Amino acid sequence: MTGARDFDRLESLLTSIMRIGLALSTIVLVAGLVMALAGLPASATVLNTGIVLLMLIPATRIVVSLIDAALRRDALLAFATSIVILVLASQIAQALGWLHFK
Amino acid sequence: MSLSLELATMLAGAVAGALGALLGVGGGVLLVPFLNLVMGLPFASASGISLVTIIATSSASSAAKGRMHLVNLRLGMVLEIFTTTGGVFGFWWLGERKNATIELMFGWTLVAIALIVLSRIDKRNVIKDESVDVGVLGGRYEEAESGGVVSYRLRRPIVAFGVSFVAGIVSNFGLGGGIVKVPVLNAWCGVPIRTAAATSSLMIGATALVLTIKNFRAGHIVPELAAATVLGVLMGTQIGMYVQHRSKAKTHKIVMVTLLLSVGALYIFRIGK
Repeated sequence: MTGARDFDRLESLLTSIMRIGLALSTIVLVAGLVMALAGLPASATVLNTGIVLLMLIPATRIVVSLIDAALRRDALLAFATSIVILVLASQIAQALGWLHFK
Repeated sequence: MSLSLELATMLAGAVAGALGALLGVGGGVLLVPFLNLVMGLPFASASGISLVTIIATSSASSAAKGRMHLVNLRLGMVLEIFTTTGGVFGFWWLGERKNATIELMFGWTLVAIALIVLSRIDKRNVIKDESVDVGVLGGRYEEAESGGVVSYRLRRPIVAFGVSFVAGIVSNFGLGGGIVKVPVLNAWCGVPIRTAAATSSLMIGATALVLTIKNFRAGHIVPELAAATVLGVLMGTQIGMYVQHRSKAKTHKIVMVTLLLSVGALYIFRIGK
């Protein structure tokens, strides 16, 4: 059983997330740039997808951290991660027009 | 966008990324002025694109072999509460200012960073005894050079929280904020320099993500330029990390301070024209 102080599994998970995420987003961004140079109208969608893939790297890292912290009964990490997720969710909700503060 | 423009942006990203990694300041301090002053992008777009590259470099540096082992995941996540809320606060607060004021503040921020670099206290904050209680936010890691286990406690947590909030505000200028956090965490909060640096570079991905969501919404991100810059910065960072292992730290500091002061002065005195 992994304890609250054992970060080995989380560390290797996060490393994989970042490597896969970088590889995917780099491929999509290169494809998007080539398409843009070729004057293809779909390039904007592909480029935006590449940027969103890039944004998904830290987002996935945070969600995976919460799951791992919960499984290890690491209350402090679970608490801190939940707050960061709340901040993130509020900003996504606002960007999508679900929330309006000013 | 033409091929030459795309290549020029990529090259600029590569140079900024290489120098940023080499000098340990992050590429933003050079990338933002380049996109803003040379490419003629509005400051908000330049800093917005720089933040997209920060997500990439944060992931790339954290994905390096053995790097995650240096990160203090708990401390990082606790401080991310402050960097992300600082980022959101800064976005709102700066949104109320005029562009000229923001550029002037950017200039002074660069000067402040130069001063931090100059006055850097470089002492080690480690406890060599393995049995010591490191507290909830401290940690240990095995150090390759000395072959021992390094333990540390987090001291003055309020300072760590405060500097993270400030770093979050500063991130709105398109900077990772590592240069603000790392020296303070090291000198005042007892975090070993390598842990502070590794934890900070993982953290800035989250701050940059929150701000990129806002910048995307505000239309500050030009997808083609952002893509070209990201690819350039990723290449440059690799080159910078390679060169870093073969050159002198003292030379780095002098180059860094000179660059920061020159670009800072450019922004401060440009306003008066």
